[in-house]
Amino acid sequence: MSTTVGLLLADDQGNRKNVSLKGDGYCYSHNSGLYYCALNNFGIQVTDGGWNGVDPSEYVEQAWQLPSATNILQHITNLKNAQAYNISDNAWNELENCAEILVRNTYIAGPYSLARAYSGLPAYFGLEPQGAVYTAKGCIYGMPASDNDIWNTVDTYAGGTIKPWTELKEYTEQMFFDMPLFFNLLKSAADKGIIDPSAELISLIDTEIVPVADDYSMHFDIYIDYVRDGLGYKSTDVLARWTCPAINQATPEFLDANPDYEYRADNCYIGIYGTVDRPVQIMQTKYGELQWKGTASSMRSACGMSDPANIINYLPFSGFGDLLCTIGYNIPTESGESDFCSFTIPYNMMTLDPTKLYSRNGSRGSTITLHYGKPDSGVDPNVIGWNIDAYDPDWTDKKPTDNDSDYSITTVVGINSNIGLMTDTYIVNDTTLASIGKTLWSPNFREAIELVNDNPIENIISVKSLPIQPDISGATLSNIVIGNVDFGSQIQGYKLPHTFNPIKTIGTLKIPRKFSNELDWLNYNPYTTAQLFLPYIGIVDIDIQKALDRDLTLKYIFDIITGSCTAGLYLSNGLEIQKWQGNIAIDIPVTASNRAQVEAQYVQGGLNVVADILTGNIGGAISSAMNTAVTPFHSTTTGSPSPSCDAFDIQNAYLIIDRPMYDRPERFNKDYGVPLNMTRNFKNLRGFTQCDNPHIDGIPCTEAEREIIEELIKGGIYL
Amino acid sequence: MANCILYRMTSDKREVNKMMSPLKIGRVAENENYLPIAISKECSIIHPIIEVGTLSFNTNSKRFINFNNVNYCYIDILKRYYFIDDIVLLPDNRAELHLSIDALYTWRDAIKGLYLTVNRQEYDFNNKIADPQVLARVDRSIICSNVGSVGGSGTGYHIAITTTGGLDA
Repeated sequence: MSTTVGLLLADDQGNRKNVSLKGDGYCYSHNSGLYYCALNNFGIQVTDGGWNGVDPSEYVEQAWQLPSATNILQHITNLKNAQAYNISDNAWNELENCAEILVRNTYIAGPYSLARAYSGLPAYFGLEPQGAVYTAKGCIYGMPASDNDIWNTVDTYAGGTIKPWTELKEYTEQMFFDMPLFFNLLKSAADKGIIDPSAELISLIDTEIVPVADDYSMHFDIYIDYVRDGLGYKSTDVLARWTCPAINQATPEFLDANPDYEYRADNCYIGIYGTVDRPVQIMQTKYGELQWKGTASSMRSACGMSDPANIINYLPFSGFGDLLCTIGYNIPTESGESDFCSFTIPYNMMTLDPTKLYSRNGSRGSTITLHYGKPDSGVDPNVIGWNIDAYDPDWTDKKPTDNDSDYSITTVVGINSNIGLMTDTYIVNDTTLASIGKTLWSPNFREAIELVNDNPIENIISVKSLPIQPDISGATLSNIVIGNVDFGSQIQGYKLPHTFNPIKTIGTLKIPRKFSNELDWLNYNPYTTAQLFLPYIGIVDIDIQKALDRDLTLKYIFDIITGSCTAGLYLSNGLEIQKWQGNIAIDIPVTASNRAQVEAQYVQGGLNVVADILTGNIGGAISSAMNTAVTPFHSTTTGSPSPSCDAFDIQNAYLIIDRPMYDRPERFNKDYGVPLNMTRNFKNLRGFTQCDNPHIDGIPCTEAEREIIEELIKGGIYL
Repeated sequence: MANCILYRMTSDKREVNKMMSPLKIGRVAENENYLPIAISKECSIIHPIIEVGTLSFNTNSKRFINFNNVNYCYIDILKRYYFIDDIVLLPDNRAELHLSIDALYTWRDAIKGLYLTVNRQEYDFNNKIADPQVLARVDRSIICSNVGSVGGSGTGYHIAITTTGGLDA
């Protein structure tokens, strides 16, 4: 949404000018009476006929579209070209309605700006470099001594680890309203008493207040999974339910907590991290500010939570922050021990993104998975992964886009009806089957059938027990007919039509990206693996390179006559990317020879189970660029699946995603850099830069110096 | 006459842009930062050894140069910047400075113009290249999620009997 933050300035002739920051974002009214605005892709606009005959809006139009962080310099250049509206050409001596403007840029988080309104707060205008974050500050009056220090020492403020001030100064002088001149005018106005240093902010004028949209609300259930020893898994269970309407209007509510899980009173915490303008240490607000409802209410007192209060009081001024809620649980494990796990919910007001819900691990291998959904409307079955950083760099925009729609899908229709044209298949119950067996040897049946062949059993092609419910929507309850004998109305079964649908959609799945930005490669094989447990088939590998981040559908195709089944993984456009074969039916012996075959199948099934254990690749080595701990959980089944054994196994298909765990050091990029492998001009780079084979030419240095420079660049230098 | 400017430099040697502040000497009227030097012995421009006076003239009374504040210098006739590796005090208020060249800062403008294949960078990256510097933990995140039931015991078993169709096929 587009939002404008307006400031009213006036010159000595009493002419008022509107200076506006405009960008994507929103403002909201804080209950303290202040306004908070958070803007992305900001621009500056001066209205009221333009200044000195130049309408700067044409430049502003460019400034509003900032595609990437690195273009902030271009953005500033554009503004430099717009200096015709330089405020220095106007003798300002009166200013009303103070507002402080903070404009920040960081190469890490992307361009954003923050406009913040205060009453009676600092008065300085300049650039304050803070590492990679450059801050331009401006206000009108009431400059405290501490802030004067910042202004007066700004030229030497670039000492230590702070980025060079000189690099910014050239931009500062013409950036926005010619800041130094603007500052001097403001200060002069205050010194002359034109501006009352004790004046209170009345309001922001011409500011379009855009309420926070309801879309910023979040409702989800928190589900828990944990891994048992071996290959077993506990079914997903609801741990808690959480809701938070628009965060500026209401208090988050903890709707329910599953009483089956024991929470830990010493590990309940809720707080807000201000990622921009408030350090973590300040913003931690232990306990409280959370509505405890339903079964969660009993947890509240045990956790020592304070009375509910509006959580907005703790929001960071910038609106860029995370709401964190951590609840500790004791999770019973198979071995009878208790495991500890907790969940944490980051909340970014600007970009509520379900992919930012965290999944965290417990201490003994348990994992918590957050499922995003809405109360009373079911839960989205998709597992939401963990994004380390929501910032999406330009690089991802350059990825070639897949166009699956180019494929045309052709399927063979009616092939199954051809198979069944000469036979009949009935779905019957135990009693009916027993009746059939008894009737087969009755004199009447034998007399009739012997007109056709000698052995009545020859007319039974197969009898199979199926662990699935075949699609009998088109089936009719009919008399069983074998050969030329109708068994009559006493022995009936559901006769499958020749065109019955053998395809069953089992469910949908998605393997979401967990790692983003420079760690995106960790989402792929061999670092991340994905497997499917497929009943009657086994544990199979999914090709992540094909499947990552795609909406997939798992389907089974059953052949009732032969008992074979095929599982296929389909893209949303119907294209099949992988498939696996299995056998789903258990043969019921009809004759002596047939029974021997069936018994052999049972024995073979048992052998397969042993083979699974012997050959399961749990901890198999992979080739990896990571130096340690990249061995994924990996298990496969071998041999032909035995339906007689598999019928007693898990009947649900489930997805197993195995990802590496990585604790990113805060200074990693600065100390080591990250892979680029591209040719670049050094003048366009900042920070750590390393080249394996630098070719140094065009420098009139000595050969010894050239070797020194080469060695330094090989090891990495800081530009 | 050759001169040097002594600096207090606080940056990592790998920084192309270094933070430094000059020491005021006051020896030369037109430039209070310049300190006369003599090259007393044979040396290379990579690791030169220069001799300087140890008294500062930036006040009315002569004071000993505070070498605690000095770790970097510029030699005007060589137009190069140097790290001060060692300071050897000599008789008669003189000292020998053992230097090694800071080629990075000396040629910083030319270096900033280099056009090279960059293997690692702090802000620019190719996120499809595996990073051998990444050290993963020994534990791994394993997440299981249900896809759906194939049939299962929840719906019981079903018997399919297939016969020669005969009259009814």
